[in-house]
Amino acid sequence: MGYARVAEAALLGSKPAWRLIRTVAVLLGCLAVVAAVSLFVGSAHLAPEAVVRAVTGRAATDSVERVVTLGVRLPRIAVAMLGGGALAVAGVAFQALTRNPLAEPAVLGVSSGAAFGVVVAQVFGLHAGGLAALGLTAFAFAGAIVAAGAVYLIASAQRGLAVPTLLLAGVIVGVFFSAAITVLISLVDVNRLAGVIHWLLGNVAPVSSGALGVFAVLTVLGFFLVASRARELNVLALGDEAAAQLGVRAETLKRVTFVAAALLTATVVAFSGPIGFVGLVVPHMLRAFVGRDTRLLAPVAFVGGAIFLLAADTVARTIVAPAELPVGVITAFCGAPFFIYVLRSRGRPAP
Amino acid sequence: MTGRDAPIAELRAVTFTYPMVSTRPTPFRLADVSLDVRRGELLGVIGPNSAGKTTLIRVLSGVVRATAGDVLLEGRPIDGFSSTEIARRIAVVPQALPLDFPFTVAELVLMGRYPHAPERFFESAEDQQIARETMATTGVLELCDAPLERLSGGERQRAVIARALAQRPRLLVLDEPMAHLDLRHQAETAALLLRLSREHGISIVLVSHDLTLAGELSDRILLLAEGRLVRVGPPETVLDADVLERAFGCPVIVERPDPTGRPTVRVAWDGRRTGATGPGGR
Repeated sequence: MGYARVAEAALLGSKPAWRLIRTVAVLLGCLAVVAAVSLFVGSAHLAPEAVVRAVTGRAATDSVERVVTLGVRLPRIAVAMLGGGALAVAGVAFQALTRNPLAEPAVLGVSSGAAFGVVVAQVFGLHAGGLAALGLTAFAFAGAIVAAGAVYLIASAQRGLAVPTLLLAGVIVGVFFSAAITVLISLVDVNRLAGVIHWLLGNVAPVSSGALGVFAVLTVLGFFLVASRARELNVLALGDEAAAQLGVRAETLKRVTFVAAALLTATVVAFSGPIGFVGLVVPHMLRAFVGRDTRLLAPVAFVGGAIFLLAADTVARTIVAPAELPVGVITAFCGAPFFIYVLRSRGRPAP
Repeated sequence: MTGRDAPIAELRAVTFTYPMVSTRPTPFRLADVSLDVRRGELLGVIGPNSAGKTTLIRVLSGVVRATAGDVLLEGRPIDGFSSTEIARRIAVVPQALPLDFPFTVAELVLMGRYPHAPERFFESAEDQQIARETMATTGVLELCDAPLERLSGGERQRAVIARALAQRPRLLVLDEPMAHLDLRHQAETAALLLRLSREHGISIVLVSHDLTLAGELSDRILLLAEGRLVRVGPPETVLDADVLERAFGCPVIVERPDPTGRPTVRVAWDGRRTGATGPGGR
């Protein structure tokens, strides 16, 4: 087939904007299907007609189907979609920033930093409801920035951010913050330790509508901060100096992206705990379809992440029904083998 | 001189030192260098390691500011240009791409259009057309959807040059473009540079460790040593055994195969100097 024909297609035929719209449209279709499935299944065993009645507003105000569908399942679906999208975009941002396909909020220890922030906030009595959610996110954000900054400083002590150094630094920072969380909880209220460990695996839970609004606004803000700089992030792959020679202000770009990725991570951690590997699995799978262009990858990963986490959460709350697993367990079972696979496939010698 | 008549780039008594990293005094990386890059010329830059060649490129392309002295583009101080304005005039071909650079040739080349419309999210049809033209110029159009990781060294080099040309620069700066190329690819790159200089009127600054090659291609050669300008002029005057020996600190043999040809330079391996008079001297 040769590259020539493909080349014509890429350069003359399909414009990237159309490719983006088509891919996003297809993924939104998938998302709708997964959301519908998620709405109809669950430990409450509602009949499909009952769910339809509730969604169309024909159920009695305090009927079981109305409470379960609109009060539990729908908000939870919204949280899973927002969280998955945010984590996938954070992954895209960290990968572009560090030029490392394995970089991801949990792997880099940024999630642990954010989780530490959340625990500190809870010690001060803040909870994920309404306006307090904003305070909780602020603490998580501070923790995320400290953790990401620490990883960056440790890894850049050597010249350049070498792949293994960066990952090791991330693991170490993650371990440190997990230990700090355990100490804090033990000092304050040792009875809560089990609950915290459950939360530390990442757990999608329905939140109040006010908190959901905060979550949505911050997630969309973080997404636009990353997506609007996608073209510059592509150029950054050339290296800081070459990017500067093309007119990209590399330092500003890196700072803004860093803050945006930390914000996305912190928001998710504040509401759902440190869910791992979404930022690794989703961008990596989607690159097979849209290539490496961040302009396509960021929006596509936003929708793809929503699908992934929603599907994972649907599995998490049905697979051991009537009990449920933290969604982080599902993403870790998918993500850990995936991580090894990507690590190994990177190890092959360059042609 | 300003505008069209001014040299494309000009250094006036430029000194550059890297910020102090330790208590020991840092050496000058460029000391009092004055130079003009004329329109359409091919200027070779030679000198031993750490002579300041790469620093010269960084100062010229505006990624670092001169500690003292003035850098002018088209007769105006470089400080008055935004980074995209500089990138529309000067394109730099670095020594190497990052090893795991994950894009296709077309994606790389289109990055060269960034400084022309940084506010645009996707490149325009005109950008695509220009990218296609520059890929055709360097002979990588048929590779345009190939990932760079799969290309040979020569192909990668031509893709990077196509990216630089997509910037539509008036000055093209290349840092050791032949370093990792075999003979055929060296010859192809050399032919390409000559064509760009002669037919497209682009000024070229070519940093090279291959003195013979620099002599072959260049209209003028700049010899740097320890951050200082040792000599600048036509290859015949700069490629002089005495001058080179002092700059590089090793015995060299300069030969002129015939009176009109360009000099060739090689190292006298055994330390014996057989003179600069030609092949008869051996």
